[in-house]
Amino acid sequence: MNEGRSVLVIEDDRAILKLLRDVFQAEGLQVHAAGTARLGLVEAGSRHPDIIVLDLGLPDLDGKEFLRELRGWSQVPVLVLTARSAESEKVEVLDLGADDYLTKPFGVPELLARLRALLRRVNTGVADLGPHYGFGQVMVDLQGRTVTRGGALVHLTDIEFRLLAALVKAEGRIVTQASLLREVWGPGQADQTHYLRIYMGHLRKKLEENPAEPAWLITEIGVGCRCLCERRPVTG
Amino acid sequence: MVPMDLLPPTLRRPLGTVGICLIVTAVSVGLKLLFHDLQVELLLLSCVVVVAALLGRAPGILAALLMASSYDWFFLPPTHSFRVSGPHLVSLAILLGIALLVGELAARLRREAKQARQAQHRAQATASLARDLAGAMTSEQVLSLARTRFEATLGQIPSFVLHTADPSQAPAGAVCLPLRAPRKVRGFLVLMAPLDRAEDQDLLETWASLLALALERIHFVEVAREALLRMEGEKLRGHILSTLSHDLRTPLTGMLAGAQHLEQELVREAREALAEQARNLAGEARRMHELVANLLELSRLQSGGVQLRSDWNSAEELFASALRHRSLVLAGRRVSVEVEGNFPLLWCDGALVERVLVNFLDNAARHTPPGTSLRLWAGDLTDSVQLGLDDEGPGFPSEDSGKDAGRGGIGLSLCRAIAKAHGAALRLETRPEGGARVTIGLPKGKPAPEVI
Repeated sequence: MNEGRSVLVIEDDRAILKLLRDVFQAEGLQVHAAGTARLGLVEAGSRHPDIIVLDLGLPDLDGKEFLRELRGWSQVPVLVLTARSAESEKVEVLDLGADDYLTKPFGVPELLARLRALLRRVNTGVADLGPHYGFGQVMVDLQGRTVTRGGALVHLTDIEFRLLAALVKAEGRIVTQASLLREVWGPGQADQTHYLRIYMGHLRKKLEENPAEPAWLITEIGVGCRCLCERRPVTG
Repeated sequence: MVPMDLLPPTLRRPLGTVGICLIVTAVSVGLKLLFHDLQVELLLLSCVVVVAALLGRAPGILAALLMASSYDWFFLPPTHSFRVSGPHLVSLAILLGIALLVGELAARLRREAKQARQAQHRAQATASLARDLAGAMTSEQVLSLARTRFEATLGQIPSFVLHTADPSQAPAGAVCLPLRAPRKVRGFLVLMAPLDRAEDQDLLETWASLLALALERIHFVEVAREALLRMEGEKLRGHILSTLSHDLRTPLTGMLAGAQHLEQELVREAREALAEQARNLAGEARRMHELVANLLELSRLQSGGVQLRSDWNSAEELFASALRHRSLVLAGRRVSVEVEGNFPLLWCDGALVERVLVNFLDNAARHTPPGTSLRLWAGDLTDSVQLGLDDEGPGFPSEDSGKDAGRGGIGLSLCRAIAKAHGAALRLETRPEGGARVTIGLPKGKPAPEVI
């Protein structure tokens, strides 16, 4: 499904660059590479990649600077690779417009899963399927404001639905706590994190098979939440 | 005549007075012999004024008495006798009264001039002390400046000590003057003997407050410098840690992802034995990463000044996240999670507490055989909230040796550091029914606000 799609890898470590090239080529992607942020910006402008994989620790320019410049003229999905584990930095990178991040060292399966999720979003960018999202047995119809699980209607309160909607719209990408709180509860509520804890708990109880070990509604402690959903064609 | 310098100081002024009076009397007698009409009273009175102005009040009184006596003896009839009568007694009394009065006035003038000189001297000394103190950069400098200035100005004080210690340790009989600055008492000025003059006492108090201000200023200069040093140290440490983190994680990324890629390729080529080795390699790289992550986090916490990013967290989410991060390590073990429905939210640094739980799980995975069960549980006590993990392994060797040796290592040290940063308690125990139990007990703060 990735035929003819391209990825731009911006990474200064040769060994990792080589490895990423092999892994992505095995996925059927065309790989462009850049060793510095400046070169990366040029490549991003000329090659028009479908996705960018960006190492945050580049020699010439901070990856954050790169994001700031890139987002001035491009909305191409960016997956950030970072060697720093501080949650505050992840939030910062997401706020600057990165679509997702992976902390080094990461496993190949995780990397590919994130990459596929981001590419899928680009794939279905044409809004032909309507705003229907699915995960597991659950279907979410944003227009009809209905949620079903295994075909049966699930009753969600207004706030629960708004929270779920904010999560599914991101299609598997992480949404930071602050932006979830702003979107669902309104500006000025960005630090009321206990709302999020309570309502994520409600959603899991209603929608997850095993709320104690959620498979779809994931919280990344200190960063935000994601819903591992995908766009689905409307069935029955 | 005996030179004045050879006389003891206490005799100088009385003898000088007597000498001057004798000379003036002799001159008066001589002049009276020459000029019969001469009024000697003015001459005698001016002698009293001169003595009082030069030598002070007591010599002035002495001169007045002597002059009155010589007036009576030499000039009042009957001369060469102390007997007086009638109007001469009045003359003598008037002379004595005027002599005492002008003597007193002259002496007062002298005293005031002297006081004015001294006051000017003190003001100058205070100004110089203030100027010198303004330039002092250390408290040692302040003390030595003060010592020099004290000796020069109040030279008659036998000795004095400046120190910042407890004033109750000063020797008996000494005078303690607190160096009171706006914020607090910065030390004590200890004088071995009390000062006899009130002006000196005032001066000393002025100086004490000058010293206190200088010491306080220096104290805050030092505080500011230390804060600056600490800040720069933290910045440097942060930079080193982040560089180290980057430099250690980058090769680990290559190892882990490389091994996994290799494994995929080998599986595709159906070379299972080699694929297994690649899998093991990936597992080792993951373990290495855990060590590195724990080490870096531990050194960050131990470097001090770490601010917790506290937030509301739910036990369910902390457990779920820790389990998700450890799904590979825990393969083959059943993990049950027990959290009461109405379990309170926790106010803590979620990422760090998750790190504790991850280390609990790692530790259990290392020390329990595959196929056994683990139980993550949360307990709500009156003053703390407990998050724990029970396993079915061999437990800890013994109550105390388990704490530092054997099980644990860096992971447990990190858990301990994180617990300490939260004011939480970490407990390791062997359950009576067998198996280990590790618990972190977070202190219960304010409950989470109501959710609308």
